[in-house]
Amino acid sequence: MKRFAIFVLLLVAFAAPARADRVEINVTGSQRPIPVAVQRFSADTANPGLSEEFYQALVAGLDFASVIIHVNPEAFVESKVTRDFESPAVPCENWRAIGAEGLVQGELRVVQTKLQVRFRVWDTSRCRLLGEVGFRERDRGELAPLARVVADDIVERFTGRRGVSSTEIGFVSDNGRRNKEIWVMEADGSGKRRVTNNGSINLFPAWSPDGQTLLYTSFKGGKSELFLLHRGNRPGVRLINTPDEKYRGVWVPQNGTIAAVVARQGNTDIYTVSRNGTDPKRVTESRAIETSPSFSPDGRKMAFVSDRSGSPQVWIRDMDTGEERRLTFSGAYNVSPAWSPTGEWIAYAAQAGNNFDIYLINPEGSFTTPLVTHPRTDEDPAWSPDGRKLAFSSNRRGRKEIYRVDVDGRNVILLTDGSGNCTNPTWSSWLE
Amino acid sequence: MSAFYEPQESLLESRGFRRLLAFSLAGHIALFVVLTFRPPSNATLISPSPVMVNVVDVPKPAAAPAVKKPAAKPPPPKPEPAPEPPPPPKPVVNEVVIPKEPKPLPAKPKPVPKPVEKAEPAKSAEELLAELTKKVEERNPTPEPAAPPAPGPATAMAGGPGTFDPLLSPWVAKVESVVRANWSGAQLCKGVPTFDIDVDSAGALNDISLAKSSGDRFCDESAERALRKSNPLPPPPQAMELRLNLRPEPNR
Repeated sequence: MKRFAIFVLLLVAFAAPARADRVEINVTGSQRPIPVAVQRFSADTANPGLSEEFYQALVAGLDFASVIIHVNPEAFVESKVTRDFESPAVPCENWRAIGAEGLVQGELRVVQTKLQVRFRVWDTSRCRLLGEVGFRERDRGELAPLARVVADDIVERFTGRRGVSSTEIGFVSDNGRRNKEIWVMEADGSGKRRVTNNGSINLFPAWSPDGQTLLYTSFKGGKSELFLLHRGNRPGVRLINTPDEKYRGVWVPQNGTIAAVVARQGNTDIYTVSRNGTDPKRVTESRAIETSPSFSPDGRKMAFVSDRSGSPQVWIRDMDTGEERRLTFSGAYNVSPAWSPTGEWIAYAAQAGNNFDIYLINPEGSFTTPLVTHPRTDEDPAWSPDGRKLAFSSNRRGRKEIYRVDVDGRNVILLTDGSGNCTNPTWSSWLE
Repeated sequence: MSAFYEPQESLLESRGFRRLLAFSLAGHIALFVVLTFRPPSNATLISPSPVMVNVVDVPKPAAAPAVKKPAAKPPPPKPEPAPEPPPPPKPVVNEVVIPKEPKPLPAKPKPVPKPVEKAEPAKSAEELLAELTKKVEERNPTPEPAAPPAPGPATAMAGGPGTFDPLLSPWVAKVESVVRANWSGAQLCKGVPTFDIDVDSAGALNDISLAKSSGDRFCDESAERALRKSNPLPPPPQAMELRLNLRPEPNR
């Protein structure tokens, strides 16, 4: 009887509702872009299509970031067009009601024949102004580039990192012919234009940190040499005038020098030179082949490829101490390292059967993850300046073409049009 | 109570009692035979997995005291997609455990009706069998009631870590779902922002404070926007303090 009573008591104790006045809950978020409402900017110009054209370029630039998505204006409770820009009052509740967490409103003006834009960015959730900014186009007719600059600024206000829709991607294309030239396009794939035209083989373009100069390898002089190509009408210049074959030059962040692969006396090593091509210094001294330098954001470490272990693998060199360590151990052929601007990752191409896939590895080498794996070849990874995207070349549609992909492996988007084999992408920084 | 299990010598020697015992045994044996060798067409009436089935109320003397069955352990549970709810409490006298594979009757003591001074006229084995079959057929075609929703991940910690409050579980699941659906920009996060919130009984969030930053202001702000967007939450069982850890989906 006593046992039964104890049993009943226990039963009651466990069945009674627990009184909880403090509860801890874990919520795991998903990859959902931030919804931002964008009003068409008011325009005082006689061109009625100006506001609409700017709006289309602006929302395309916002959506390019993948982390922001513009809200369909058809859902707006408030006006689709900014009215009375000078009055900053915003009925945040009406924007929250349609799910918008942010609001962009602005105005366009033509000042001395050039377009000028002013805009405000609101956090409608807290009804707080995130910023009010103004931009002006450099030259007439640059409406779309101006809209992309605005879009990138808005992305920064919500994410802390500037968007990259206003950046450019350089690449190599044979354009269906035997020669290979350097081309440049907007980051969304629009505005392709050829920037070299020497009829020779031009390879490995690399943007300078300020996005104003392209360093590339060309055979136009009969052997492999490095050249600089500046924005504007300045002619390309030869960088290092020595008898050695030189190729695959990159810019060393922070210190303004250039690292390149130099074949001297039958040995291929990595050297650094000043940006004038003077003061060459040998960096790697192995008897093996060293190539493909890529630097950490602070310029103090260099990833490179060496076959000193018997097969091409990615290594890391401490530029201060000269210490070198092997980074990749999985797979027999790992090449084309590209250090992310955030310093978190090194992308590289890993051989898989007869093809290559692109992987990410942390600089410590403790974690590796595939970025893009396709039955055909993906190679030549190149980071966007915000570290959220990569460009790469792939022959998944037959010819080699340039694609971009988010760092989480989503949103693989074709950027070139298949008119030739396109390789060696390089992603510019922001143009000031 | 144990006295009920002790047979009385005088009763065992009773002729009427022996007859009753014989009928009871016959009924049980018949039951076993029927359930074991039923035609395949009726086999679906019995769940392929071990289940507890209340088969029949064996007639017992009206004056018989409630018989407590020796605790019979069911076979170890197997994983099932939809666990059946526990059977509703009934004044069951006898239960028959039907194993998945036909097995000999267990040798342990069976719930034999207890000897009594007076017994009702027992039914014949055929009658018992017919009644038994009818009852089984009536019971089994009835669809099982839906299992209650299984508690989600043990995210509700009431009264301190390690204490799971099942009554809060549905509300916790709703909160988790609402906040998750409202969280845009979680991909900005590398760390885990933690918020302390006062929730009133209507679900209104009265005070949202960042208890621990993720280390990234923009991540924290995206999480705070999610909470403000989720205001009001579904009404909780009672006003409470809520601690919310907003974790990013594993990504790069």
